[in-house]
Amino acid sequence: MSIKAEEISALIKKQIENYQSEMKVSDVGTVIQIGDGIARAHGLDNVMAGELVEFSNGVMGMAQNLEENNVGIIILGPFKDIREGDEVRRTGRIMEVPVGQELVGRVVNSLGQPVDGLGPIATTRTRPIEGGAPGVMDRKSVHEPLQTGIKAIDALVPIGRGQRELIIGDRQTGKTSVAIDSILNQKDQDMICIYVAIGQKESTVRNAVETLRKHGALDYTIVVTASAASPAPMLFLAPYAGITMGEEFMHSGKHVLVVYDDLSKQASAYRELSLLLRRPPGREAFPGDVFYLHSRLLERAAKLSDAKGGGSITALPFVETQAGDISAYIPTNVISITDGQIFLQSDLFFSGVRPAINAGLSVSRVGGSAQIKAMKKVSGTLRLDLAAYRELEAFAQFGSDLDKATQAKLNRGARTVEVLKQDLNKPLNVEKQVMIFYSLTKGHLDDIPVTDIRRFEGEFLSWLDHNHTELLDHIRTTKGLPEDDAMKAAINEFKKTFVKSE
Amino acid sequence: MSYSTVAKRYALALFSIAKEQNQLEAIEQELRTVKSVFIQNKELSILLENPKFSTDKKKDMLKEAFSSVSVPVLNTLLLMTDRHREDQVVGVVDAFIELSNEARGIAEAKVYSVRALTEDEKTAISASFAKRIGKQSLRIENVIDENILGGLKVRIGNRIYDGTLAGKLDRLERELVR
Repeated sequence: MSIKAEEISALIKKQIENYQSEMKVSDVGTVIQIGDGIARAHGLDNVMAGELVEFSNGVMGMAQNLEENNVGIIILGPFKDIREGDEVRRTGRIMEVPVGQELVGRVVNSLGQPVDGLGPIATTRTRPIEGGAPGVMDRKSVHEPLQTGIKAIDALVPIGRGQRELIIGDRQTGKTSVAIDSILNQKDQDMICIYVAIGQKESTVRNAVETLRKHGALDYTIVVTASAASPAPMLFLAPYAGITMGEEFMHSGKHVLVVYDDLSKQASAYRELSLLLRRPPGREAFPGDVFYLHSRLLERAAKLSDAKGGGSITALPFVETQAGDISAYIPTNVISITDGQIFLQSDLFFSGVRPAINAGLSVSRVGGSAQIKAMKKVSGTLRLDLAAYRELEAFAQFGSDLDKATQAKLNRGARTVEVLKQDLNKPLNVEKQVMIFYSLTKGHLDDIPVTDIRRFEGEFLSWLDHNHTELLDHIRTTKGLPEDDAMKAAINEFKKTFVKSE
Repeated sequence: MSYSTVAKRYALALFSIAKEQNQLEAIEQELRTVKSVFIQNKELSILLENPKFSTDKKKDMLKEAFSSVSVPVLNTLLLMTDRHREDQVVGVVDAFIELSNEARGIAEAKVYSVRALTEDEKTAISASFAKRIGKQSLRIENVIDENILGGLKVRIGNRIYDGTLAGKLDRLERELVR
């Protein structure tokens, strides 16, 4: 970029000429208490709840508690050089973040400022971070699928565009991997993904960004990060900033996937703020409005009606549980707000079932209507198969004499579990998922040894790619299953070439 | 401006007494003196808040020190001593002044300027700003501040009307830097 001194001088000259020499009127207050990222100010008459205020050193704050004698302010930035007695000025604005296509591919903080070292972002538009959710008439029921590329999710707990599906589980159960894989699978789906990292280690965020970059997913992804080192207000605001950026795309008719990783940290940050602002603590010391904190956020995810452009925001909020306790305060709150949950279990994870999805406790309340027809057909009996298997599994450990039907159920179950396993960062197209589930549910895998199932799957799918693309194309274009005979023929043809390991 | 709830209560009570006895001006004048005494002698409030010093002694001292003030003001001070609200005296005075200003339709204003304002200038400022905020006149306190470079800065309550050269340059700087 070349900078010409004359141009700049001309610009400044114009600005000086047009400079309004009028008086500036501002409402001010005085800081009477400061500490822990919270300031209390005296004065500041007529300040609005949620309004931005400016301290004398240029740091911004957000008015939170309006009391008779003072205003509680959360500070959005370094608060070390704010002193008691400093002036606080009203700005008359409420908090906004930059929005627009320019943000895609960037890593920003809760205020929309870049933190990836790639220079300023040339956005032209902003949106207030707190806004109403779309109303009843603006919405449409969820009907398009959001393919996560994870077999266990797409088959058992399908997610539709505009849905809010909670991902819940203990620490280290692969929650983030599920989200990253889902984002990776949105390539060529005309989706914008927003990954909001709340209270994560900087190194973890870096890893996630690198994974996205490596798989080319950063071209359609915005990463909003408020790391563990950021003050609590940033953690509290990050999800709102994320969904605000998403809303801009939704209202222009695009489809957006927002991942909040994770909301329990946001709730903790909000608890910290609320306690410092001296709001009365309630259950688990959370403030009274912690439910509203999450409900107003998740209500903004929606499938818009055709009149409104038909865009959507799908939300994948995360909640971390302690020792699998989903009846704690935040998990129950968020479960009741969302349209279903995916429950990840640590004992499944350690027994090698990855993704460690507990099919019994995971549900999707609206996603079923968003599945494609072919998938609906092949996955219909999957859940029952799995449930029957889990029931018999414990029971069959004692006796060896089992009747044929029981044996068959056990065999099928073991293979189902095998098929649902999936490697990290290897999302699978829906047509391939349908093919492998078809083989499973129609019993074509029953004579393959359990240990060979995953190898069979891999080889079968790449064989299909080379020999029977018409089957895959048929599923992709018509969304229905091809003729049974054609499917059976293809599977049997492959089985002839497949070498069992024993 | 907002004061502590306690200060407002005392001020309101004293204000209604002053109005009943038609002594608004006199009592306000006395209270201003009381406030300046309290502000100038920091030791006074420290002494009054000292628990080792008996309430009777504090009251005797107040009676002696403020022997010239009217009965309602002195009684207020004594009552506040009895109730251990000695720390609120300045707040009560501020709240009282606000109430009486409200009643008379005037407002306090701090005017920052580079040199001392003449009386004519003060009246002109008072006239133009009073209209702006819907009051009849302003009670102007002139503050000399070299740092504003030029122009005027008027502070009424918590609202600042900034017409100074320094403020303009500041805003210009911000616009250019952005």
